[in-house]
Amino acid sequence: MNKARERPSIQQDDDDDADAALIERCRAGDHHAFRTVFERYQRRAYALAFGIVRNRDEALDVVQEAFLKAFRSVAGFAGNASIYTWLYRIVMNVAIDHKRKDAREQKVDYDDTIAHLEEETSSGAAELSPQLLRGDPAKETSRREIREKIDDALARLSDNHRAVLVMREIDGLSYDEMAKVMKCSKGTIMSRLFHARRNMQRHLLDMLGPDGDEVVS
Amino acid sequence: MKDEDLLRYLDGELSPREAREIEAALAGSAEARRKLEAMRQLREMVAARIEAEVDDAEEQLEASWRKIAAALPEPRRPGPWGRVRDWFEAYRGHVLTGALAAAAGALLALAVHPGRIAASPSGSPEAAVVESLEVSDGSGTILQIPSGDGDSPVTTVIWLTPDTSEDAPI
Repeated sequence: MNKARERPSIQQDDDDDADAALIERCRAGDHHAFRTVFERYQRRAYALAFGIVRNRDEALDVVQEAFLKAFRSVAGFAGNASIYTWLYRIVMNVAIDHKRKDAREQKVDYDDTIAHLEEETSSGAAELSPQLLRGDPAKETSRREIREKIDDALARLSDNHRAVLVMREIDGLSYDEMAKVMKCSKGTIMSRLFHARRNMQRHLLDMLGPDGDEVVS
Repeated sequence: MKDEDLLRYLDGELSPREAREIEAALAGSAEARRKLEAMRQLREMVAARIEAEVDDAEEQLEASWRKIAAALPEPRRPGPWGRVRDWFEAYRGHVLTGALAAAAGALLALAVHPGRIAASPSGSPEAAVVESLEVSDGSGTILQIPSGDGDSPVTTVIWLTPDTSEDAPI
């Protein structure tokens, strides 16, 4: 699938024009226009929310809350950003708030900044591995054990790393767009993406085994 | 070649010149080609997993909309100009049909009595009288065109347009 990953520029311009018209109508309180915005971005929003909170019910709550926030704050949408970077930012903030709230409720000291730094400094090899994963995991995600291993590997990443991975690998956002969503520099995005991929690769190699390895079934 | 550059190449973030340099380096390095392939494999796998999750949650996402819609604030009442615009949007078909019918009637009048209209004593053609009406299964336009004949001074044209929209009364 990944329809959004390769966005032809003309198509993107058309989408942006259509989005601008929708936003105008949303500003006037038009629920039908907002319904169209929801239909257009619900899957992307859910993917990002799920990528961060890793729980379906909670991700659905995040989507719901984020869209309500978006409708209420649409008057403040400047229009110089694309609608999806604006929406993504809201989804991301709501999802991180949910995680923090959960952590407080569980009385766990949660600090994603520290988690992020720890992950980057304790990650061992500083290079990508040239080893391919065993089998064809992308085609085997319907198998429960493969799905669980991918989920476990994702769970070991920090929230920021999972977020950049989802935004890049699912939606094909550019580094600049991700920097706008995460309100950080392009260099930080490149660093997060590099570490996210390298760590994800390392966890999966541990769990699935490299190509040619007979140990893991 | 640095791994960061390989990833920027994979993500389409390099200039054409930089991309050509990476391609040249890739041609000479089997290890770099394997790394690139490994990153493509990772991308496909993460995408497949998350896409499958989104597919599975599709129905629940739809149900989320109902909750969102129930919590949305009531829309603001439009001002006078907004109400005119809304009315036009709602009845655009009827308005355009009426206008077309009027134009067709005027053309008919010209065809039937060209001399009379051209030789109007006031120097301008006498206007056709147009009325619109709503009927149960569509709309209509009545045109009354002055003909100047002694027996029948007015030619009446009734133009009915069936409503073919989905919400037309049956």
